[in-house]
Formats: sequence, C-alpha cells, structure tokens
Amino acid sequence: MGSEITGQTLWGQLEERFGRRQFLLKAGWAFFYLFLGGWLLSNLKYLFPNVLYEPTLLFKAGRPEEFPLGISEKWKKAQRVWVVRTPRGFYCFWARCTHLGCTPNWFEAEGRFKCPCHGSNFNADGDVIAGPAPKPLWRCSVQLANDGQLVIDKARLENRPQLREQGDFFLPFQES
Amino acid sequence: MKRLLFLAFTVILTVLFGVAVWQDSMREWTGYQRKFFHSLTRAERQGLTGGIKQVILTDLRRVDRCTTCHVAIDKPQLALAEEPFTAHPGTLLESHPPERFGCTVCHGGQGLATDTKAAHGEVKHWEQPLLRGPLVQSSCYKCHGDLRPIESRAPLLSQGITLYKQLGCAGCHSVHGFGQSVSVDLSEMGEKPWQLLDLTFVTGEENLSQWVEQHFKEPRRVTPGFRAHELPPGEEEIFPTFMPQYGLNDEQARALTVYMLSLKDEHLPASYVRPPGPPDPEPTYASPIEAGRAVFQKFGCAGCHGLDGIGGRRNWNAWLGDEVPSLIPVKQYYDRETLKEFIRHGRQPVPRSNPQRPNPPLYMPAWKDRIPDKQMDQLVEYVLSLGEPLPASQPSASQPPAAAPAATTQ
Amino acid sequence: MADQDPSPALLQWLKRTKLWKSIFRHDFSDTPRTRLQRIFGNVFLHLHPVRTPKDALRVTYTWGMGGLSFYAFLILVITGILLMFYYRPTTIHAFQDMKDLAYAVTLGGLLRNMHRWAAHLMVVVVILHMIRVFLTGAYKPPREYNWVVGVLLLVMTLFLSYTGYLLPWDQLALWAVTVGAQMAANTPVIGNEGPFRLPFITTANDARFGLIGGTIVGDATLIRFYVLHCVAVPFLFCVFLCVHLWRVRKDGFSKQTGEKVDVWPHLVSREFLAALLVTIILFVWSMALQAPLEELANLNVTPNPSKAPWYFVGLQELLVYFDPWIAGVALPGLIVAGLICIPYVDGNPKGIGRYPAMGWKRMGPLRLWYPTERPFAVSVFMLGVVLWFALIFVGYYCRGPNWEWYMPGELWSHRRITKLTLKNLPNLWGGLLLLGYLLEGTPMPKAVKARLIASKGPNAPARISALLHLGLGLVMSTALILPLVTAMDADFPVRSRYPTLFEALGRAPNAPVMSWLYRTVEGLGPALGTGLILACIGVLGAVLGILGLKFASFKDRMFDELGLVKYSIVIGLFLMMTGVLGKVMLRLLFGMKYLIAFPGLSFNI
Repeated sequence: MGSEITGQTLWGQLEERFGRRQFLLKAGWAFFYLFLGGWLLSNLKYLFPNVLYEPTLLFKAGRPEEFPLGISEKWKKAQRVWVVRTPRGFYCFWARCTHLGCTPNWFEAEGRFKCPCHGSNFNADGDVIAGPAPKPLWRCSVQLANDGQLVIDKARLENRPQLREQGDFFLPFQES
Repeated sequence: MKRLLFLAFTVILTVLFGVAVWQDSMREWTGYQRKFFHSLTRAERQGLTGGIKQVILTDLRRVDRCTTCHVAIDKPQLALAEEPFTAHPGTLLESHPPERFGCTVCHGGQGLATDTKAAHGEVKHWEQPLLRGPLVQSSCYKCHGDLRPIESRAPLLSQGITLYKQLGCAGCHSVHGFGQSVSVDLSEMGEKPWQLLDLTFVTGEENLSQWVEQHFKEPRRVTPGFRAHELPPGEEEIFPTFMPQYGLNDEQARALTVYMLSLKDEHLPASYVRPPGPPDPEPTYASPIEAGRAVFQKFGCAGCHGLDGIGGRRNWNAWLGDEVPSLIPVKQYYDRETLKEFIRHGRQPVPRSNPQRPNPPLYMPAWKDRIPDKQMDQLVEYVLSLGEPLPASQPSASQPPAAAPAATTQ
Repeated sequence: MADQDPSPALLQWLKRTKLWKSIFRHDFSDTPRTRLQRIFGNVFLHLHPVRTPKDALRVTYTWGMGGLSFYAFLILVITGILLMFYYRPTTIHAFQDMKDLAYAVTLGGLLRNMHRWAAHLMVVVVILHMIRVFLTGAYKPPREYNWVVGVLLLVMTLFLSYTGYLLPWDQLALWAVTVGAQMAANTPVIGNEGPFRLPFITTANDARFGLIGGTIVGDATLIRFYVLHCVAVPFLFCVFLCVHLWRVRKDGFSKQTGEKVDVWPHLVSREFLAALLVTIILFVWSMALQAPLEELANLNVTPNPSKAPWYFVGLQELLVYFDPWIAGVALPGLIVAGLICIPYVDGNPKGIGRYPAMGWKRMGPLRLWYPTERPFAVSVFMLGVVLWFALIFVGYYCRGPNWEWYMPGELWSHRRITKLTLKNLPNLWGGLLLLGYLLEGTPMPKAVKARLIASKGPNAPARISALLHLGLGLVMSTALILPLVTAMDADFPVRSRYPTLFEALGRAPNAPVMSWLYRTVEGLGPALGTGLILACIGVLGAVLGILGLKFASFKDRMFDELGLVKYSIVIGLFLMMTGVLGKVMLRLLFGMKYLIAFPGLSFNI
C-alpha cells in the first residue's frame, strides 16, 4: 500500500517535472540509448574470444639435466621460449622483443640476443644493452614438477631486476 | 587534342591488355606441352590432355604440378631423351606411385609453381630448392627409419650416418634426443631457415646445402668469427666456430650433408612411415677394453678427443695449449674413481690460458645421465688403457664399433 | 528532331520503344539541354554539378587527385572482389592460394599485382590530394567538416592497407602485422604493455587481444583481418565517401573564378582521360613489377631487417626513437587529431581557391623561398609532410639488418657489429629540459604588455621577452649538457665499464657530438675543458634562445588573434612536431635514449 502511494507520487512528480508527453519521449529515448549502448558493448565483448586455438601457455620442458649451461633454443620453435641454465639454476625467457614483439635471435658467439625489427640487443640476463626496447626481456615462471620436469608458465611474466631472480621466476638447481 | 589523347590512351590500353593476355597464355609449360605433343604420333596422343596437371596429396599436405612439364615422367614408352620429357630413371616409381607420393616430398622444389625456376625452388623466398643429384637421398630418411633394406638405393645417406657415428658428432650435437648439447641440436637441421644462416662466406649458390657442405669441409672459412680489427673498440673477441676441421674429402662431406638435410621435423602420416627395424644384436667384445672402445665411439668422445683419444682438436684459449687434451697421458694423472667422477661431472667451462680472452668454446659436458654405469666402467677401462702399448692380438674378432649402435629412431 | 536523325532505322525504332524510353530519359544529341540532362538524369554523374567554373577544370589546380583516389578505390574494389573468388582466409590455404593466383589462375598474377599496386597508388594519391586541399585553402569555411571526413578517409585508407597486408600470410605479412598489433598492446590504460595499465589487463584481454583475436597472430587474426579488409572497413569507407562527395557538391567547389562551362562534356571527358591514364600506368606497373610474396609465415623466424610497407616505414623509424606507446599510439593519434583540428584553429579567411604565392625572403644569413600568403600555416604543414617523408626515406633506404644505419646503395652486411650505447638523462634534468622546451611556447599577451609598458617603460616588454627566451634557452642547454658531463652512469658497473655518462657516451660511436666533446675536453685538460663545456652550454643556450626570440612577436600576435584555447592547440601541435625532430637529433647526435623514464609505469619519453 505504502509503496503504491510513493510510486504514484513519484509518477506525479515526474509528470509535473517534464509534462506527460515529454516524459514518454525522453524515457523512450533513454531506453533506446540504453539498449544501443548495451548492444554495442556486447558486440565489443563478442570480439574478445573466450576460447583460443593456440599452444598452451603452460608446458613441461623436460628434465633439468637435459639442458646445457647457457641458452637453450630447444623450446624456441614449439613454445617460443629460451631456457637458460646458469651454474646456480634455471630461468626462462619469452622469445619476444619487448619493443614490438618480433622474435630476437640468439647470437651465441656475441653472447647477446638481437632483434631484427628495430635493432634492440639484450644480454644473457635479458637486459637491454642497445636499441629502442624499453624494458628487459620477459622471464616466464619456471618450477619443478613432481615428476622432476621443468614446468614453464608463459602466462606469468616478470622482468624487474630483483623480482625476476627469485620466487617462481628462478629455479635454483645444482647437479648432484 | 583531347580526342587524340583519347585515341592514344585506348590504343595503348588495348595493346597492353593484349600483351598481358598473351603473356598469361604463353606460359613456359604451354611451350613444353606443345613440343611434347608434336613429338607424338596420333595414336600415342590418345587419352592425353593438355593444361596444368596436378597431384593432390591430401595426407602429405602438398599439391605437385611437376607433371605439367615433366609429362612423360611415369610414361617411359612416350619419354624422350631430352628434359623435361624424360621418364623417371630406375624402378622407384613402382614402389612410390606418383599418385600417392607426388614429387616434391622426395625431390624438394616448389610443387605449386609452374615455371621452371620457381618450380625447382631456385628462387628467392623458397626454402626447399630441388635436391639435385645424390642430395635426393636425404628424403629417404623421412619414411625409412631403418635404412638397411634400402642401403643400395641410398648409399650416400648410409655413409653419412656411419660417418656421423665414426667422427663422434654426438659428443657435441644431439639428434632426436641422442647426443650431447655442447653445440646446436641438429634434429631439424634439414629445414633450418636460410635467414638464420650466415651465408656471407659461402661460395656458389647461397642455400642450406651449400652452407652445410662447405661448413663440413672448411668450418672456419664459413664461420670465421670476428678478429679484433673487425670489431668496435672494447668489444670482446669472437672466436671462429669450434667445429673441428675433420679433413673430409668431397664425398664424405657430401654424405654428411645428405644426412644433415634428412633431419627434418616433418610429421608424415603413419601410413607412409616404415617402422624402424629391429635393433642390431648386441655385439660381443673380447675384453672390457674393447667394449669401452665401443662406448667411446658411441657417445662421440672421438669428436673432440680424436680417434683413440689422440687429441688435437682446436679449442681456443683452453688452458692446455689451445687444444682439447689428448687422452693418452690420462693414466698418469687419474685413478679409476677420480676419472669416473670427472667424466660424470665434466668440466665447464674449461679454464682459460689467457684470462683476458673469452672462455674456450669447447668444454667437457657432464655424462652421468647419459652413460649407464656398466658402460662407464668399460669406458674408464678403455681410457686408462690408452697410455699402454696395444695388446699383441688385433681386435679383428669383434664387430667394428662404428656399425654397432642401432640406427637412431625417429 | 527525329526526322533529321541520321542513325539507322533499326536504332530509330529501338529508341521509340517503351523499354528504351523507360531507361534513357533523354536523347543523346549534343544540345545545351541534353548536356544538362546527362548530368542530372544519371545517378552516378549526378555527383557532379551541372555547370562548373572554367578555372576549376585546370589540371594544374587539382591535379585530379580527388577523382583519382576515388578511381583507385574503384579499381581496388573490382580487383578485390575478383581476388576473393580464389582466396581462403585460413593459415593452411591463404599462402597456397597466393601461389595459385601467380601460377595457375588466368591473369591471376596480374590481378593481384594490380590490387597491390593500386593500393600503393591510392595511398600516394590520397596524401597528395590532402596536400593539394591544404595548399589551396579548400578546408576553410564552409568546407571544414569535409576536411574532417577526408582525414577519416585517409585513416581508413591506411587501415585498409594494413589489414590487407596480412592476407597473403607470408613473412612480410606476419611481421608487419605483429609489429602493428604490438602498438595496440602499448596503448595507455588498456594495453598490456602500455603506461598506466589497469590492474586487470593481461595479454589475454588487452587491446591487442581484441584486435588480433588471440595472443599470437594466427587463424583468428587472419579471418578477422579478412572481414575487416573485405567487408567492414570498405563498408564504412563507402559511407564516408558518400558523405565526402555529397559535401563537395553541397559546399561548392573551392575555386569559383572564370566563366561557367557545362560539366558534360568538359569535366567528364577530362575525368575519363585521367582514369584511362591511371589504368595504363597501373597496367605497366603490374606487368613490370611482381607484388612481393615471401616465405610462408613463420612465427619463429623474423626476417632481418623486417620492414613495414613504405607508408608505415616512417612510423617504424619513429619507433626507434620513441617508446612504442608514444611513436605507435600517441604520435599517430595526435597527428590525426592535429589534421582534424586544422580548419577549426585556422581563422585566416585568405587563400581559398589558389595556391599560396611564394617569394624570396631574407632570414638572417639565409634567403628562403617562402610563402608570402599564409606563411605560418603553409610552412608548418609542409614541414610536417617533409618530416614524414624524410622518416620514410630514412627507414626505407638507410636501414639494414638489425635496423642499423647504412647509406643508400651501401652493401648490407650481416656481420656488422656496432656497439650502440644509449643513455638516459637523469629524470630531473630531463624534466627540466622538457619543461623549458614547452615554456618556449608561452606568449606575452597584450594585456601583460600594456601593464609592463605602464610600469617599466616602453622598452620593457622587449627586454623581458629577450631575458625570458635567452633564459629558457640557457636552462635547456644546461639541462641537456650539464648532466651528460657530470652525472654518474646508472649502468655502472653492471652493463657499462665507465663510471660517468660522459665517459660512456664519449666512447660511443653513435653519439658523435658527445664523443667529439669528450675527446676535445680530454685533449685540452681540466681548466680549458671546463671552459669549453661552459662555452658549449652558453652557445647552445644562446642559439635556442635567439631562435625562440625570433618568433616571440609572432607568438604574441597569434595569441592575441586566436585566444587561449586555439593558441594552445596550435602551439602544442607545433612544439610536438619540432619536438619529434629534436628528440631524433638528441638520439642521433647525443646518444640519448629517454629524457624521462619510469620503467615501472612503462612511461618513458
């Protein structure tokens, strides 16, 4: 009962404020734009696929003993990563220039990654030593699975100097 | 004036269009087909039609149009002596019917193209040029995992594989998981994109097979590194490639090239692939030393330490005179256990003779996960025996060790 | 009339039939009446007015650029539709279909070449059309809005080229699109690698993901670009094209001098001839030059060097000097916005319907060939155009493997190792330099001048202006040179062997000015060296200050004419443009990478 009264008074107030015909028209336009906006937004969402037909971002890269010291290009073709083994352990680069996403090449002899697109050079730590790249190479998370294999997750990336050398982004490993 | 221009423009346009149509209809293959059909009698021409011919190989994901010009390749009765009207030599087409195999899966080249240069893949932007001459043997390995039954057909390929084992390439390189990772993995060497090769010092045609072959013969000419004067001041020197120069003759280099080109990551359907044959029976050895020698060969120790451990391979800036050490004097410095430990863990990197220059490129990798314990004992036995004079009786009774390991499986 | 018709009886009969009359509403004899009827009786020709001033028909006025861009678009639509019959937008088929077009389809190669080259031609012609419209003042009232539509059409032309570039699915395509899509990832706020990224934005939901439909360029991207290239963008393009042409008709042609003549046949015949000529050019071009097709797309191998199509190479070159979000997003956006702004900030009503008159003008020791009419507008616009094409030239002809500098015609070597040392200016100094640069744009409004004259005498405004500009110049040169010679190298000892910036840059081959200064200072010894550095600061400051002072009175006048808002837009765009040039110079001469760098925020300038 109470709500009916408030509803009626609200209606009355609105009628008073805009006039009946004006109100209908304005409300009509409001709903039209509401619909249009919603529809356009839904189309925007429509363009962002929910499932992807792409290689998985998380994969097992084999046993740590299989990797030599230095930069291994073993997974570059299939997964676009470099697995790096140092005397202290493992880390893993996403093989993608931080400038514009080209695939750099590893020059073993020169000890640097060079990007062919705009000439960015990175050293074995992934730091920019030349060219326009604004930040170091991304490192992927590396962990040891229960079966003793390396698990690399390309969805988790880090390139900040201290954070990238700890936690999930560096796997301490000493051969027994 | 405008009318004159109008006339001139329309005439030019018509002529241009005519030229374009003429060019389009006078493709190279039409000339070949006309020539071929002229050589035939009326009866022979029965049932033959012109136009672009193609074999669609759904399973192999290829379309081959080679028979557009090579019209008589599977018709020996119509073939002429002159290219491209010859018939396929030998009897290979009987076991490899073109309807099922096409051409490019063995011969390389660009199946879709219809003019000679492009079809033979000897153009820019085509990665697989025609495999001329014996190079075609490299394709056998795609399906024939077991080469023993077809050894006579693919002699160079078999020789290449044998050489690969004899020279001890596996000590540094790995193929399909077997071998060390001191240097590049060769599993996909046969399809390495030319953009990743430095062809600056390759003579002749600039393609993968030339690079591989010349690199086998003279590695340091093809990959010379950078000397000080070639570098900007302050840059660290870059050594030439550490691939040893094995002194291969032309045939051996060619054989190894064929093997390298055969290493591809091509996923052919199972119906095409022959299963690898049964492994060779385990050879018996007269003594643990003989067995150790086989282990030494199998794991590629000879690649760096030389045949029978005589050493001599170049290793820049290594602490023992720029070379990989010979194994002859090992007995004087190591006992059985320390040697075993050393082989297990390797030495990486090798100490430098000049601390100002970069690390020596070659190093002793760790073998503990690769050589099983029993074989390790045999190997140590063999290495320790190297400093001693050979026993009087030659080991002719045993199998030659190079043939011993089973063919690597795909 | 019909009695004297000399045409054969059959045709005469045909012309009397109901069918004929229902299609053709007039006869075709050349009378003043039919000349008009041809234009307004035909929906396509009706794009033209019936009569037009004679002077507007002169080829040297428009060079037919608008009509020719329309014609190039028509060719592209027709060849494009034909190509679609043989093209499947999937990664397994697309490349094969390209090969088929070249080797197995009747005239397929020619058709593809024509489509490709017509696209290039259209870009050229559209840009030339824009330059022409600017120079003849045809964007001024009442045609401001049509200029805006034209700018949008230019953007769409470039976007059509970009989307079409992926379709052959070769290396060229893949890498051009990968680089282009990466710019979307560097969009501020909604790009995963851009500055001020929202916390929930990742590679799997940012602007790049929306553009290419995945995290890597693949099948989803191909179908997306196919739809954009063949349907969506052409549809939008047609809509805007209709508006553009309709507006030309409604707003009238910019040149209205000379007696009026009939459009049929005078204009129509010229258009037809021009179209024929362009067709001939395209035919020759397509028969002589094959459209490029490289290896099958391969994500693991980036060609070296990997170059965008020529009209984007300028942008690619810019990307070397700036952070991706600036060069790839902010600058292109500002360029488009600036172009759109032009008619609204240019209040000068002069110069409509004619090219600006040029004359020789003394400027200090130089004699310049200079527009005497609309000097600022014309020279700034042309400076922008020249800058753009200079960048394209450098990117296209002067860049080799690893994007290193080679002279045009010099042999590329994959064995060249150049040690490129790039250093950042410490943030505070860099900020000061930027601030000093921006303040150079401040004017002295009339009111301030009047107050100054009242309080400090008649020479005060000039004195204060001189003081201000020289001071700013000095601030800028100090902020540039002082930190470069005194600051510690932030990379020492991790990546640099030299403890100071001066030492590091002094030994870098890519910082010629700094290495010259370093060597000279080393040779002169500490006292003389310090003197030299101070002299450098003074000279550079004076040069910058005098340069600013030269334009001081012009700035003041412009401010008084335009008001605060318009003035800020104009001076902002102008400073941005010269700033780009300045940053390029800082990179090439001083080995500077960033003036301000906040790597944590991905915000670098």
